[in-house]
Amino acid sequence: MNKKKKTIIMAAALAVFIIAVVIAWAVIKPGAVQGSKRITVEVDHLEGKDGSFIILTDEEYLRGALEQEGLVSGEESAYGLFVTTVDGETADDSQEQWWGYTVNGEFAEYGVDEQPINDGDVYVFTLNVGYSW
Amino acid sequence: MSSRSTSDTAGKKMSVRELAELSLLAALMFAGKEALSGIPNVHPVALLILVCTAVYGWKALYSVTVFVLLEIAVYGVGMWTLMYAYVWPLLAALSMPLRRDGTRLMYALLAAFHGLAFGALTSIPYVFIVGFKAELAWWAAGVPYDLIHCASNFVIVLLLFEPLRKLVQRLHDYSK
Repeated sequence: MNKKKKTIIMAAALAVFIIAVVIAWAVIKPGAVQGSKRITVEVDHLEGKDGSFIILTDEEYLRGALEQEGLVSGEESAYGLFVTTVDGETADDSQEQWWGYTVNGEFAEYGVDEQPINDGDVYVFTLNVGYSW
Repeated sequence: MSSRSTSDTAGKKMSVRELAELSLLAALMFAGKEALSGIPNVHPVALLILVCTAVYGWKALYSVTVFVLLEIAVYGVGMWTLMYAYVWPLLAALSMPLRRDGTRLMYALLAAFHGLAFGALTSIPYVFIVGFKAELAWWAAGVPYDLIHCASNFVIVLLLFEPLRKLVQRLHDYSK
């Protein structure tokens, strides 16, 4: 097989792959919901009393709902907000502490910027310790 | 624009000089990735692995192994580092057939393919932990980043593969 043919085959395979990935993504990714929603946010602190909040919001993504209540802050990154503080408690980097959250009992797949919210959702934020498992 | 077929040293014993060269390339992979870590999925790791394999053949796996061990040393043992143990060697292996007559465009296409498949490849272990459905959701969440990875790999390799390969080849030939 000559080089030109090989290149064309590789380029065609890549094009097909890109199209397949984009179509699959469009089908699978969750969409945002408009309108008012009522969500529950629970916060599992390392220190102090755990928090529980009911939020009424028109926001479409979790970040907006949390910021509306002043519940989170953090650093802006290319991936969206990197949450470092939840309900007043800040994760200590040097202690390998990090905030993670679940959506209706399942580990979150998205950052708070991309997590769409639905009416009745329950979010649990937990301050975890240690990067390895 | 054909790549010069390199004197194939694969299979032969590794010299101390080669060990040093390959270690340097591993360090460059690590440094390059860290230096660009602020930009999601834009990094020269794929480029360096392709150049390394083009010049050293299967011995490139030594560099890849050192790079993966460095990552594990820094980020700890976890899913995010263990999957590197097959994702990056796979790229080296896939590029082996290109050694003989691969053009820079072919290398760029391979790098683009690998970048786009990166999320799917790294999500494989999740099937066994969280199940197929959750794994699909995890993969879908990363698709925009896979697309960035695909595009950035293509551009980086297309522009830098030839000059870097020549440079590394010259370094390597110099030792003979």
